[in-house]
Amino acid sequence: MNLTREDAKSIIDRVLKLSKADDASVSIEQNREANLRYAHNEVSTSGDTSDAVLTVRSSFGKRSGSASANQFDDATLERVVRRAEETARFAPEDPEAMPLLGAQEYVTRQAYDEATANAAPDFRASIAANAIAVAKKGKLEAAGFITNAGTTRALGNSKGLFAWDRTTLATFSNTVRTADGTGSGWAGTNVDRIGDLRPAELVQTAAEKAVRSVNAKTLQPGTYTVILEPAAVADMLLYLSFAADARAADEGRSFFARKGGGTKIGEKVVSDKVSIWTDPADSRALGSIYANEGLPTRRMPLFENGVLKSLTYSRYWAQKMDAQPTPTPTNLIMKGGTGSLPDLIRDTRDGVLVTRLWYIRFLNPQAILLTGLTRDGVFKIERGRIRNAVKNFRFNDSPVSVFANVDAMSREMRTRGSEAEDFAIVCPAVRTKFTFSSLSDAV
Amino acid sequence: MADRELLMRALDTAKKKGASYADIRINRYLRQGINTREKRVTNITNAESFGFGVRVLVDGTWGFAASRLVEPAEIDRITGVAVGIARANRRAQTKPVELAPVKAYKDTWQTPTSKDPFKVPLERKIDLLLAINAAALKVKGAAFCNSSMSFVKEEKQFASTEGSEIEQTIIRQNPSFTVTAVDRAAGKFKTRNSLAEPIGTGYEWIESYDWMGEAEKAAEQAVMKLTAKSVEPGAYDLILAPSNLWLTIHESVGHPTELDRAMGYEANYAGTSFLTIDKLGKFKFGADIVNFFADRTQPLGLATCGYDDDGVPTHQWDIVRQGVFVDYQTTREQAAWIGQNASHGCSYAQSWGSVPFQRMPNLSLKPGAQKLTLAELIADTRRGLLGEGRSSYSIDQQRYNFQFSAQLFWEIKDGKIAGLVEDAAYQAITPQFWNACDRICSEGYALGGSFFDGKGEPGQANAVSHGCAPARFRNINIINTARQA
Repeated sequence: MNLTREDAKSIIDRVLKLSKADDASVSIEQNREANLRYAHNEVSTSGDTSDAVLTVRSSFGKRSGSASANQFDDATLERVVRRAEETARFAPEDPEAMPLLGAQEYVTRQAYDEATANAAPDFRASIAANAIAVAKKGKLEAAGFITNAGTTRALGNSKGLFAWDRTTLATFSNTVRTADGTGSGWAGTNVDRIGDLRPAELVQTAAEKAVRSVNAKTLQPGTYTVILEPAAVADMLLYLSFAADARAADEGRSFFARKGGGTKIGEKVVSDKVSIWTDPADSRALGSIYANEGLPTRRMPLFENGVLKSLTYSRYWAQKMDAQPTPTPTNLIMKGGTGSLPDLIRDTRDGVLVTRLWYIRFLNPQAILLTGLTRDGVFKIERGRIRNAVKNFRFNDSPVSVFANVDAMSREMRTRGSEAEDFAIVCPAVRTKFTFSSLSDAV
Repeated sequence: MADRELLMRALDTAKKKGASYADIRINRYLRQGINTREKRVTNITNAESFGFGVRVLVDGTWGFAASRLVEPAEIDRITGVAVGIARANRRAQTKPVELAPVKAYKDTWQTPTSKDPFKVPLERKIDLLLAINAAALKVKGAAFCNSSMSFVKEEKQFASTEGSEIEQTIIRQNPSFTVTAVDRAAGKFKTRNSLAEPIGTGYEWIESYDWMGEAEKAAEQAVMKLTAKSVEPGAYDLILAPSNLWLTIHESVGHPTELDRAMGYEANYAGTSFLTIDKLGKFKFGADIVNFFADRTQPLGLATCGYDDDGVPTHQWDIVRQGVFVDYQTTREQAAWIGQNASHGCSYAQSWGSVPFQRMPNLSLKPGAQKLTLAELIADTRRGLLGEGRSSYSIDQQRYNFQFSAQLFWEIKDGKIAGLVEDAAYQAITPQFWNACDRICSEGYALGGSFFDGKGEPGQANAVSHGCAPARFRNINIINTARQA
């Protein structure tokens, strides 16, 4: 059962009526996700789970507390409200507490697709069966994951704010390995409408990469001209955006802190070829129409021609610094070039092609220096052609350096990173300088 | 606890619809989180989640469905959905799932504790966190201190068509803090996280810990890190304290000995394992003194419970014996894959809405047999580093190449601690690293652990502990991670 706008409003109003606090806000997230996993050329686990979580945040002056539950009967709602209020009474005054937002205007766009929300088990099973058949035919081993989900979110408060958003998401990713384990290829994406999913193409790409990645040669670690495919660029974008908090910059604990105080907003920090923004209504990768506390999301430039245009300001920090509050991005779009990935490879005299990155962690947050590994297909490019597979690497590098050294890009496309499978990203493949620090025998 | 009739209703419905095996879990989860920074509380959350999941085997194929509405009609509907999924998936399955035998158990189990953290007043927890922040910020140069506590209580009911009916109450807690020292003029900052570990027991453990002492020491060390010299890269003898070594055990021993990874079942996400089944019983994983055991009965362990989510009683077994890799972590479904006729009890689902699968048990390094303290080990080391506390960590998808850092690296010169160094990380290949282990202390055994070990698709979190005493590794490659972007 999907919560309509009216259902959500009625539950939120019921909870607000129970409230004895000075102020209260109520959020609901209802989700149904169905999924199927396959591996070792067999289906493994699968499921279909429905849940709905209601969270109450109550405030007495500058004291606040929250509580949540996933049952909507009167007794539970009453208990959750009282628990939030009790927590708020115990909480010390928060000098940074902000008054609730009143009614807001939100972007409108169609983000719910019935076919995506309700795809049947047969739909998922047929993707798995086809992928396994392709793998068996090529004497390969297939593993993959298919999901389809529908999510309704609503937020209301005692100051008259009400936001409601309904979205769908389907994902498919697959890894194909050679039977002897010496080759591995991957392809995957997430989409807002299941009709946009092209599972057969993704299976083909992963299978071709698996076959091509055997007999990998050793290339010495070092700094190379590297083409990062969109999935790898997506992770670099994510880590760059994680670091883009205004307060951390103002407090001197961020790459975006200016020496001597303040932030780097207005400074050129990456290549002038690089423009990155967020836009909840971009039909190629829809984002949520509201973020924390019901703040409306809008199209917002993050980097324009290499210049840092904005950082994320909480409402408190924005007020303190006399800036506009800016929500955490709910999608990321990076402008690309005009050609395809094969065009970019053809245009590269000597370089390394990286399919995707894995297990990425901060080494030095101040420089946004990351470590991680390449995975599922690394290839040497010579005179515009893929020459041979090379062994995987560990890298120690930074998205700042990656985007500062961009010299060419493919067209942008919908993709996903390794570190946030469901986050909507549109970006190109980029050619840049990249530092591999050690070899990995892992395939 | 929910009505027994509801449990039986799901099992009967599943059987009527053609399931050869079914289980149902009706679970309630309570979670509390408190976050503070400096003098204020930044967030308090209280969450409860209740629901059920039904798992069925139809003609040897799994189906699973779950809902938050624990009522008869929904149990019928969801059981039907699970059976429908199993039937749809049969077309993509050639080898039917076979479950290792297990006895029927009617039992209850709960985490041994004298103080349920959910009964401790919120005020007392907040006071402690703010006192930690204050103690840290008294130290000159300490600019920020964040602290937090989180608590989990799982109330689980399990019933299966094998005849088991098991009730368990499991409690875990995760207290932590981070001190930041900032040098604004130089545009530099350093952090030091607390060395306290998450643990599978009640609030009495938090009350017995010396928080004020550690907060002050952490703040002093965060300030020291601002001016510590940058490490000279090269080969060092590396001594790792339990507060750091547990995570290396988790990543380089825990994950590669998961049987589903070794067989390719995690190939599309977490990855596979270099410990393939042809290496079982033969592969020299580490030096002769290296012994690892798995144990979901270990006191205070985060993965400790009475029965796993297949209804299998928990126990202890060897993973690496005298350096040789001898066994995997398994569930009922997996035991037969390596010719075993019983499960090691490693099935776990993070919630009622998640499907159970193989998760890591507590997995620990046995202390050394000969008497040895950390002080004696340091005195015995000419050119080395001592690592304390977990920090940046990254390891490849087959668990070969890893790179770990630490909260603190102390330089050892001629048997003495010579001061802090910064920017160090140890980078190694798993079997080379464990074969380079030449001393394991007999004293100083301690548990470390993670609340959020991720695996599977959709991703699920598992809480797990790892015990060890300080150990030394010879000639380990230390890199310098400081490089301006």
